[in-house]
Amino acid sequence: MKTILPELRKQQKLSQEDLALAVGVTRQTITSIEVGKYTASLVLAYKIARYFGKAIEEVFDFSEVEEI
Amino acid sequence: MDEFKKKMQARQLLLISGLLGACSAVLLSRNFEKASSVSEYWQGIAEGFQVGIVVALFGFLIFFFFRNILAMRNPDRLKKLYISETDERKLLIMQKSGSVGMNIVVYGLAVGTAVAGNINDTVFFTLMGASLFTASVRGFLKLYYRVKY
Repeated sequence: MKTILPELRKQQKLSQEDLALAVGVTRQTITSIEVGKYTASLVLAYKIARYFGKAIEEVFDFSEVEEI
Repeated sequence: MDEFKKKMQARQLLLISGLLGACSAVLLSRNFEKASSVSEYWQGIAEGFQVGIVVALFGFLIFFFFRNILAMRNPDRLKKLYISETDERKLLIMQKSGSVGMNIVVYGLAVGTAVAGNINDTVFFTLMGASLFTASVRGFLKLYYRVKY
């Protein structure tokens, strides 16, 4: 899943480690989300979006989610 | 975090009982007379392997014991440990590797049992027991989680 997380972090001059600590995951998880290898759970997506004061769909791109 | 601290204290007790249990099992098993049909060379390899396993087991138990003590004394370390243990990606990797690994083990044991049936009765019955045990654990866990979720 695509995300604007790296841009948001850069805007706030925030490291992956800092964000990871703030939302309660490891730095590796943030890296995997940023490169699109791992899709965050609803709770984690909510925590990340809330941290940046945005809605989930503003941070994560759901346009490529396959519909059944 | 208080809940996690309580969990850590319970885990420390488990580690201590695990350490004591392992010590007693190793010491008690030394009293049994060993029936061996292999050459001295292979006995040496078996003993080396045995010592390696025991040392590794004790090493892990002691490492986790002291890691937990240090974490319980330092809030930053405790938070990092909590994050590392509850990280959702890590948990997903563990779940996936656990279930795929279990399937591979069950398959390998089943094939090994079938092959051993043609070669050696003792190995055959040992592998059969291991196959049945692993398959039942897998089946039980599947049922348990179906009821739970």
